[in-house]
Amino acid sequence: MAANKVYIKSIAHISAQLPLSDEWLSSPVVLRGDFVPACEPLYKDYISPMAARRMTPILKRALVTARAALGDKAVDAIITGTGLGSAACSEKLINAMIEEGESFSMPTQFMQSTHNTIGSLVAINSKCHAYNATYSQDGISAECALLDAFVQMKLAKIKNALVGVHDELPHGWLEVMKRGKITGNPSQVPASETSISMLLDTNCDGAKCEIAGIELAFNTSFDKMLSSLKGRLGMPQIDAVMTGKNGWEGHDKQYDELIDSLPGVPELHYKHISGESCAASSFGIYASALCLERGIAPASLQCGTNAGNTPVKSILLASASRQNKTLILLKSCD
Amino acid sequence: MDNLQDILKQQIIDALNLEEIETADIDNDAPLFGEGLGLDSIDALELIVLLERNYGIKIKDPAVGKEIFKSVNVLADYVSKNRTK
Repeated sequence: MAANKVYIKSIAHISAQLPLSDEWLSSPVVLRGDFVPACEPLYKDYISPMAARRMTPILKRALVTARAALGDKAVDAIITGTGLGSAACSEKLINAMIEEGESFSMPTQFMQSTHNTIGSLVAINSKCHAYNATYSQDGISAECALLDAFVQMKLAKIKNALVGVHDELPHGWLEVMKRGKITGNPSQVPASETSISMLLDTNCDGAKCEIAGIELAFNTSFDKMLSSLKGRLGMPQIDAVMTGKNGWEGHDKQYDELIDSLPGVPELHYKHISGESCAASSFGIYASALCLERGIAPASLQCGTNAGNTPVKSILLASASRQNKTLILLKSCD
Repeated sequence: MDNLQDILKQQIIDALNLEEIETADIDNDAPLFGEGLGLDSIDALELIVLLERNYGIKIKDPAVGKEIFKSVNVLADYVSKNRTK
């Protein structure tokens, strides 16, 4: 019996772009400076003030994008990827402890200062009490969460899943990242915040695209990973490659070998639109899914590359985060 | 006393992030938990920390906590009699 296929049915985002909207495809907000915070929707329209009062921005973003992606649908699993977790909450808690000489606690911040808070809140609100897992793997948290859902759906253990990828960047973390030269490097896109929720399903009705394959590897070349992916999927067609280039040469050169091994394949970029964060690659998944749904790559993602108006039916999404590399092959629905 | 009640109400609003509520909206005799403001057990923890931080009052007996959080008037009375700062 053939394994199930896995489709992306719906996606919702809160990011540096206009929230819960695909308007950035034609009119992206231009990101400037070291840091661009997420553009928040009016949360009162989605969450009651009494319920929202204990929620930090990342929790509100996760809840609103999850509701937008899920609608009224019940799912078999809620899987979350987050590099920094409830970073603002942790920062507030630690700063308060330093200021108060560790003599007082902050109950709400203490309880919510874990990475699992995000997935738990979404589960409670969606009344999905089934499988719930959180992956915190730096810049490949999105891919780890996606892989969990993908494998379980391929093995028919679940039929659908809500995969959420969320990261916020409070002031203290931003300073740490600048000092560590993770952000703020020459020509690098601004740091930002991204929350993406996507509904995956084995049913293709109304789907945006199919997830054909996922490769995750540590300390390996993109070349070897591409060979592995091609070997498993039988030399699939690749119409475009969407890279996680962020404008800083020290980071972007990691993609050179991949581009060289795909001669003539148009290159697309998204981080000038999403900004850089641990969750940024989830915006790449979202952008790729929209391209495949429309069958074409918009000019906003081309950045002077050679995609033009070439029909796009498959996109290889490549992401590098320190020594971790990931490849995801997305295809338009049959 | 009136002044302390207003101060307490503002501190409760700030500590519990009650964005939609102003001091004038809180009845001094209305229950803080259940009905009235509709606070819950996590709010109780936050209020205990608030009393310790701002007034040096340590609530160790849960029965005392249950009693003094009955209303703003009861709380203000307890604070005025037991505060150390």
